[in-house]
Amino acid sequence: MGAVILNRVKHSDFPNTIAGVIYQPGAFTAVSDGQINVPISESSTVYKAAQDALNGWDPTYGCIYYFNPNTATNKWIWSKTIVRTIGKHHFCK
Amino acid sequence: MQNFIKTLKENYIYGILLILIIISIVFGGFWYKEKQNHTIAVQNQYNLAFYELIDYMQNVKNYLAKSIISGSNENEAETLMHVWREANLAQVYLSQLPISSNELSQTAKFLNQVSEYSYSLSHKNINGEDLTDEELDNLTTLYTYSQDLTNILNQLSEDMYNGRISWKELTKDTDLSFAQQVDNLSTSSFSNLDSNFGEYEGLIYDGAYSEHIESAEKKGLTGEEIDEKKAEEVINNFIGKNRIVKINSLGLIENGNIPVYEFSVSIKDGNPDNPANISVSKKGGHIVLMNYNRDITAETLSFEDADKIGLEFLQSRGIDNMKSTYYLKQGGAITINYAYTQDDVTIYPDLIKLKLALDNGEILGFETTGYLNNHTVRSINTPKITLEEAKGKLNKNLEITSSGMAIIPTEWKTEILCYEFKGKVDNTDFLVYINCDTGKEENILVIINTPNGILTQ
Repeated sequence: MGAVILNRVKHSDFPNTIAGVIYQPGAFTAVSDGQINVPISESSTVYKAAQDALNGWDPTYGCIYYFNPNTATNKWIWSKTIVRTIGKHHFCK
Repeated sequence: MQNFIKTLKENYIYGILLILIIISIVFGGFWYKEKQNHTIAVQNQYNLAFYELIDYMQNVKNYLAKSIISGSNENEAETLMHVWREANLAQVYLSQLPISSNELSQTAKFLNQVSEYSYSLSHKNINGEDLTDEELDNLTTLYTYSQDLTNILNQLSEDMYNGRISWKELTKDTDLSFAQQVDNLSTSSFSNLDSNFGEYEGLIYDGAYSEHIESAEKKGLTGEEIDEKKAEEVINNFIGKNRIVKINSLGLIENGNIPVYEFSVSIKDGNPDNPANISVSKKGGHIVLMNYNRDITAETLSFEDADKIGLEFLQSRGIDNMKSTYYLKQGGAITINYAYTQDDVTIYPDLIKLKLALDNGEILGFETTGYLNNHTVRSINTPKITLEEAKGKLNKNLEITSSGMAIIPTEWKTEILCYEFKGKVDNTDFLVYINCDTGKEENILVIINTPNGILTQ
């Protein structure tokens, strides 16, 4: 997810700053439901994954969208090219 | 009979009361949920504005730094235009914060002044006029203030993140007002300004010229197409067969920038829950990306040790003539950027990143996208201007500490041959790039030294 955020920052369709992308209304559900404000421990894998993304490690190969195929309600998302699946999520361009 | 009707009437009233109570509970719950959603939405809005403000403020600071040392009118004008724009945007977001304190009205005023001043100076530059010493002094003053402000904002953002201050408190009209807090913060952050300088930048930038690395041609992606079996062999050779516990194929990924076979590999003594992800290019069988994390408790290796291990590793994998350009330490691991060198010219687009564990020097990550997209043996032309001539184009305040040649990528996916000068103005280090053919000042980077690494902006 960190990589998707950074890919969006570089992409011309999205805001140009990290905060702009994350807080873009409706962009991420973790922002809308307040989950984003829960502090994360520095030793957690989530924290490490975020650091990796900032250092330029991109396991999504340039993706700017991701979704869970079991819960996704928006049909439009299926029109995107799926690059790969990580865990429960499809990552696409 | 009479009694019966009476009880019925009474029960009827109880019934109505009961229904009313249920309705009010349902509505109450509904309203509560609604309010909670609303609070979160408002908080997110404030957070957005606040972080945007910090970003733009940092840009203002960095462009001001560049504007002080720029040597050419053209570039100066462009830099000042950036200051104007970034300051403007910072103002917009400042205005969205739910705060009106003296400290922040100063900030608003500062942004206003920076914005208008840089706009008018940039026009002077466009018309070919040099800036006067007084004007440069003014820019220096603005730069110093912008540094202080950035520090205060960063401190504030840290306090919010750690829960010491919340928007709820800031918006309340209590004795412990926001202005006071900012004042306190500013005194403390002013005194240790030097040691704190640049801590936040590490979060955003991963070294000079690490972007613009995708190209359609993929010059470095040489070799024949391979199948999955062959790809597995590549990984066995890369990691060392005796160190691999288990190797799982995740299949071919065709829609990425470079089509790859992806594997999940459990490494001996590694974290079994968190195997390494390794991808091998379909064309040529190059390792494109490897990444994994494990707990690192002791940091026994220095950057120099890690750099040496990294270079030996690259050589053992047949990648020669690499030179480390930037590094960053995080959580016991170090990420080092290596650039290819040809005839003493640093070729930034040919980038390889290595991540090493600082306890035993194990290679945790390897990323070659830049190298595979761009690497080729280049024909480097003889410069049309000499090093001495290029030096003459530099700002006179820049105290040069070293010089060399480099090929840098542009935003238009081309490459330019430049003289690279490293130098100092006051206590800030800069890299300045002068075009070897035209003498144009192509770029200025600010070098930020932090305890964790060297960063550029």
